Amino acid sequence: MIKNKILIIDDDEDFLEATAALLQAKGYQPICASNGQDGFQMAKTDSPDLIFLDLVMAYEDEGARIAEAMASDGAIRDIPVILVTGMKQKPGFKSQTVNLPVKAVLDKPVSPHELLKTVRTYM
Amino acid sequence: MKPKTLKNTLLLSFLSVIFILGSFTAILGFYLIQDQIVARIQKEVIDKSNSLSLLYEGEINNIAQSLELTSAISDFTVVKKVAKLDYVYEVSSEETSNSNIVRAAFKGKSIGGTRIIREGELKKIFPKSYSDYITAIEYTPKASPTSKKTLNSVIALEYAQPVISQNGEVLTVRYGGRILNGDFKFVDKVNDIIFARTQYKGKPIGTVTIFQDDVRVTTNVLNNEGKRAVGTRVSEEVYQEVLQRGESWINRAFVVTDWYLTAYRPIKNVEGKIIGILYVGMLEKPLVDLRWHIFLILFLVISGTAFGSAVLSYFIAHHIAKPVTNMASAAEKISQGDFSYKVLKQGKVSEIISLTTVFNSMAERIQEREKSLQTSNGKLEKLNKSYLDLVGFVSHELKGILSSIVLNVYNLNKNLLGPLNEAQQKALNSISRNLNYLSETVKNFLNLSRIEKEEFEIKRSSIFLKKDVFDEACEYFIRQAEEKNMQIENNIDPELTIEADLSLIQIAVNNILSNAVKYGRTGGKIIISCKSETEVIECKIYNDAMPIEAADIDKLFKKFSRLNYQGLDKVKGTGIGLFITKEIITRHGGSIWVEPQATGNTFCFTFKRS
Repeated sequence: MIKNKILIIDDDEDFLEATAALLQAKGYQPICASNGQDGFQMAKTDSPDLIFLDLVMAYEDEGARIAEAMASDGAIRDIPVILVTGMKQKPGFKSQTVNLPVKAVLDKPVSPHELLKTVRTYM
Repeated sequence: MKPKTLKNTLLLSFLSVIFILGSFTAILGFYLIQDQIVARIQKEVIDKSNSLSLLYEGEINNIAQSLELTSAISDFTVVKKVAKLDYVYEVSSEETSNSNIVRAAFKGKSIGGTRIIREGELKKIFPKSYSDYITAIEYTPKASPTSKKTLNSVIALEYAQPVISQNGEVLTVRYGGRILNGDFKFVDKVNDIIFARTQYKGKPIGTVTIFQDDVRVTTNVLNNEGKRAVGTRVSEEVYQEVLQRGESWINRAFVVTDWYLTAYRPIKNVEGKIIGILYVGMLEKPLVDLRWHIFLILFLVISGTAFGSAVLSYFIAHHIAKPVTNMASAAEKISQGDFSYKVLKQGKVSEIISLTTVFNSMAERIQEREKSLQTSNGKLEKLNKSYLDLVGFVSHELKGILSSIVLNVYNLNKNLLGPLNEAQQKALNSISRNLNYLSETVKNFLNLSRIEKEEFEIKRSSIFLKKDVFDEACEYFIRQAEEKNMQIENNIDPELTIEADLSLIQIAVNNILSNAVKYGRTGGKIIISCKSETEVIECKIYNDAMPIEAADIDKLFKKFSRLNYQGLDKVKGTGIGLFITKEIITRHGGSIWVEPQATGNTFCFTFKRS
């Protein structure tokens, strides 16, 4: 089976649409969730092959909590999660996220090349 | 070692001074007392000895007077009785006399003195009681050795009076004398006169003795059995000094049972020959006791004074130390943050008063400063919060918005959402360039604010310079380079590692490479190389470009400084990229500089090898 289903969890609808358009154009099958709760549900029901997860959504640590919830859920714990955030340069970011169960952290604005490269690397 | 308190230090100093002064006074006092007493005793012994000599002379004069007064009496038995003499004779010839005194009197003048009466003459004088005058010689430990068991002669005080005819011829010599051996009247009389028979702890304070040669013949010195020590002898030392050399001997001496301060003087006959010794001695014990008594009083006085001074020292030390101790505890309170504590003004010492005043005003000022610091801290905390809010806003909002724009522009630009006409494509290229610049600017702005707030936390790890840093950067800039038809050569050794903070080094290298692409000549080359020498790794990034003028080199790494070179004025830049790069390299312990070449520029920077 070809791995091409990518779940994008972000509260920014524009980002969701733009990312989905890019991934779709490149032959992937993007699915979108605009909050952590929905994202977690879709991860369980749709079995994506890769998850892009925003850190700050309605809550400051929503992304972090979802990442931890996914890692402790036996059914989906093996799906690679990539954190996508603008907070990478904020003081204290590193110490807050260093222990999160994610494969990589991408700094917003993400260049399309970096995004596609990450997809190729982890899928 | 635990430090001593000021009070104890002062007290210890005072006590040391008291101890030294007290000891010094005691020792000095002891020697002064000793000296004074010894001097006084010696003087007294000499006085007593002089008195004894005078009394001895007086005894001879008594005999003379008695004989003069009885010169008219022809019965010598009566004369002997009246004049209390042991013998009286009259001789007509000088030759027949054994007495040197008698012989001297034949020269025409009356004369008195001391002489020895030998055994033969003694037998003539006392045919019946001769043996009563024989003195048995007792063994005396310190005396000069002798084989004699008895003393068969006697010593006598004698006076001789010539009877002279009208034409001046000496007709006869009348003489009489008193034998001293076994006669204690004289010595007891002397003792009465000069010592008043005083006793000390059952012992006579003074003793008087007459020696014939070196043997005690009359004395009131008592032996161990409480009897007069007749027959004992003088010590060898005194014998030599007085009998042999004829000198007086004044010193302490152990006489039979006790230590005495003594004076020995030679007794000479009329011819000047030494035939005996006059001795007077004073019991040393009363004076020794007196000395100890005085010293005890002195010691008690010194001890009492020292004790009083020590007690006083305690209060003085307490008094002196108290303000300082108070100030120390106040300082401790202040150091714990209690600024309300004040030191009360105390004492009359100007330094302490001024110290107290200064201390209190200092405490007040510290309190004021503390308040103003707290206010400043509050402001700073507020500022920091605003800063964090701003950074949070830029990071989340601005970068989030940019994110979707970047992706959308890419999708359009790459015709992923359908084809564009030429004008649309051109406009989109412009948007794309500006968007890149905006993204870089936002990132640089955030990095700059981190640097200026010194929030760089350098987390070192071992990283591969090629794979982890330069390959990533090259890949990031390869499209921009391709757009300018530029080539990037990455010649770095894949095995080369450094100890550094990966994300920071990436920022630094990206900035240099970004500049190399932006300011590089279209169709030019970018050559990346590294050489590692000993402990230092030096990286070089060369690009074909307009060489930087020497005058501009210093400006290059300064914040917000941009160089205006012809043809490059359309290239957009914030002027903070190289500043950030320099900060990152410097904080890793390296350095960065630029080397302009004929055809371009080389940016060089160093690291310490991992």
